[in-house]
Amino acid sequence: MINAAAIILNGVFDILLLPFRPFPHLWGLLFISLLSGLGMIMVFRLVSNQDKISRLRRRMGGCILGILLHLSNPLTVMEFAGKLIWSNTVYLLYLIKPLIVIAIPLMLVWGQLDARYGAAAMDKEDPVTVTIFYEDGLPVRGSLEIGVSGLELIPPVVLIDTLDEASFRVLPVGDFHRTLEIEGVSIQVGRTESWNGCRILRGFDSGSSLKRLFCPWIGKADKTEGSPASGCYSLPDVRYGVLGGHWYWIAVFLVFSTLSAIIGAKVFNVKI
Amino acid sequence: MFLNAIFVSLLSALIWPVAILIKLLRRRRREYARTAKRVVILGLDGISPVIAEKMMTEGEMPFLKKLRDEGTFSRLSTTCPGISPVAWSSFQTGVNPGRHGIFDFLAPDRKRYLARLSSVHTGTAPVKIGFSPIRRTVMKPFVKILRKSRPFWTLLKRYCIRSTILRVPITYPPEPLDGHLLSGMCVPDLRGTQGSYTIFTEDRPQETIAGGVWQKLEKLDANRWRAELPGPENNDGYCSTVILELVTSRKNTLLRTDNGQLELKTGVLSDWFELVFRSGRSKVRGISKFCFTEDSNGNPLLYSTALHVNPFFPSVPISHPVHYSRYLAGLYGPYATLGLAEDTWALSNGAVSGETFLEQAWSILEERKKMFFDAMEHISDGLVVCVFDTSDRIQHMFWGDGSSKGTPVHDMYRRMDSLIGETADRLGRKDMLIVMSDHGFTSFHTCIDFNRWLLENDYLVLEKGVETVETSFKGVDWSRTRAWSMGLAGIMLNLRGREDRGIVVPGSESSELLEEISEKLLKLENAEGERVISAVYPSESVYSGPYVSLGPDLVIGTMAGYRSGWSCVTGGIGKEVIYPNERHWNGDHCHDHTLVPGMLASNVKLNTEDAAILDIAPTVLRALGVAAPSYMEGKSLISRGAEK
Repeated sequence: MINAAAIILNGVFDILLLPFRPFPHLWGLLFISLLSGLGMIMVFRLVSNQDKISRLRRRMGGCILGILLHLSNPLTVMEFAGKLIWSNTVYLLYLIKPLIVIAIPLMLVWGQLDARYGAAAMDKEDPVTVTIFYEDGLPVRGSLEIGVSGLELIPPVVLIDTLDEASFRVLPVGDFHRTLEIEGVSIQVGRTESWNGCRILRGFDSGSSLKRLFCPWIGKADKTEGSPASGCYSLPDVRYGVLGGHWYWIAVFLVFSTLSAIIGAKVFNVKI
Repeated sequence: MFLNAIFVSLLSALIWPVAILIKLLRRRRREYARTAKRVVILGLDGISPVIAEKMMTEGEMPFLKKLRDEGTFSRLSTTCPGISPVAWSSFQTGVNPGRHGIFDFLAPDRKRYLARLSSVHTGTAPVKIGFSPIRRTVMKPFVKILRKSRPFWTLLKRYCIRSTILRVPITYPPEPLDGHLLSGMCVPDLRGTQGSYTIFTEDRPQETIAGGVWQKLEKLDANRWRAELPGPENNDGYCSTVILELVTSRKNTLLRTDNGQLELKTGVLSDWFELVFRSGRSKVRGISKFCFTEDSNGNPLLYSTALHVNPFFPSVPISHPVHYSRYLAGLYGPYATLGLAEDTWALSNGAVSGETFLEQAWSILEERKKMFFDAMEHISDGLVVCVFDTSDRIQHMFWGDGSSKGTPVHDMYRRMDSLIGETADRLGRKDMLIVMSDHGFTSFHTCIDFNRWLLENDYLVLEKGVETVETSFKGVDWSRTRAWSMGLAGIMLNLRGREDRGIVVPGSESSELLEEISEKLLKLENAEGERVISAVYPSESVYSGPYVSLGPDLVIGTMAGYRSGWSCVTGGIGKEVIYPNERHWNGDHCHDHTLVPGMLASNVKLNTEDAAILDIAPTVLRALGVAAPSYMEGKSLISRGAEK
């Protein structure tokens, strides 16, 4: 069920970002950010009690004006300041319900964007460090068998007994999908092709599929006896050039989704 | 908002010492030791001392009785004539109408023989904007108060005594003071009128609607109608409108606009609903209440009150400082801002029922109470004035029902007494409470058409072929007219050099003419042979000051029950001189001012001998330790024993 949801969600985002393939990555990221902001504000409108929020906002405005109007009377100023703080607390309580409703879709979008815009694809010039984690204990030194396809394994394979993990480096070769084979389990590794909106795997996990729903950068791996439980690949972070700065995708998302939410609130007359 | 709160609080804490220091340096010393730390004036428009006395005797007004027993209760002479704008102007300035220039609701335009509002002038004036070389002149609207002299609370600024003035008539546009002011009577609605309601029906009513506007309800399907609500006029002379959609279902009735929707209950007045009128890029925001009913045939009938200025986004200046109206709206929600907020026209025309009108009146009373108590809470040292005019409107509309138990007038007096009680509970030991009304009330059962009387006595002459004049003296031959009447109690001579087409020569001719008219008027009788005019006052006998010439030449004091006819007020000429008043508006105070004195009560013993409304300003100033300026004509009512 969750696997199916994850597949559908990945598919939806693939389709949404399909028109942006020929364009720079930032465009797709901006599109999803703006869409998310708008979506969130509409959900907020549906879920929140707009009348109550509107009344409370006006009351808070009234308290601020009360402070300004009674500047010569410190007691009154304090009274209004107290009322204002109380109103803010009530406002935060009003926000709880819409925030709970928005939280899950937001986490899903967040995961998708992180998977697609958080890390750079593999580069043929740069080796990638693969770290694998074991739950049932590390295999005996020398017995760890690592097979590669489309990759070149760069020794040594480092085993850290105390942490139950092993590390090694790989370098992509050729232009096809790459897989690792560890203890007979085939694991897909990140791609070198990096079209706009492409999901880039940054690890694998043989555990619950719920995790993969919220963290779609994690690939699925079968669990067999002696195989690793999870792993991660050291792909470099990506920065985006916005307004002369170098922004992480999170900054781009937060700024532009907020901006779109504010504009959406103005256009659709949503009280926030 | 949270950050705003912290920022504003910190800023105010930083500014406070500086503000206090500046105040201390600028403060003028009071001339006397004050007798009250705070003066609270509770203005109850139109409360009749006669009814109040009767109800106190019956034990129906215990709180007012307590004031009478422990402090003061007396009659309060009103102005001539005893009309709210005139009386409240004298209250606030301490001078007679000849010095403040307000003689009636309407003032005659002597150049065009038309009526205009006496207290406010709205117009446009050229204003230069920008900087050289791109400086240009544009026409900007302005609003100017026509009341002359100074309200006494503006004098308190010099002494750093703070005031909150709420809804006192003739305070629009607001004038600066040390404190806050919310304008009252004469604040217009969004259409620029003194209050015009809207009635929506599918078919046009047969009669023209006075004081209101009819709009068509266009049927879209069985349960859906569409209508346009006309709002303010834009620069092109067209009205901007809001599209309304009325949807009825088994469950409820909804009214939708672009800005939101409102649930209506049949026969019940809604809460305030915000309406946004767009004209180009600009927006004008108003508020209105709606009432949905069905006529006997099941056809929908939608009523909308006048479009009040939204106090949160005022399109005209209704308060000082500007954000005071926003402050009140923020804390207590939207409230009526129109000068004459209770919709008397709608009740007169049958657009709303008596119950709906009362519902509206009581809700306005409650709104006003919240503002008043807020002011009392936050002004612990200084002056608080609030005028409640619901009492006036209810008596105008329900006087005919009497004042016995169960009548709206009785109910209103009871509510006003509770208000006095609630106010008294909030007073401190050193506070002075003044409860007052500007005039009393009597019945209004018969109209007197003074223009008809002038016509029949050859003082006013019509052009050939003209038999009736509906309004604005259309068809009057000014070259042969010697006198004309406009407003609620005035007769003007068509004086050469003053009126545009004046023919009466000032001097002996005008004096003789005034005497002649006065004598004849005093002999005017009804069908039963009873006199209907109790006194005629030449303006020089009742007014003094630089603006006497702006007023009427004769002020007519009618007997109780008689008042100037409806069309006569705006320059119309009816068919009869004396005719019955058939309107719902059946109580009034525009009679001989000696018949409708106001009321004065206080928690302090005052010297009420010959107490007049002009005395309130000097009394309040004296109570606060301030000498009344020499131009004020009233006297302090504070008895010598109370002065320290």
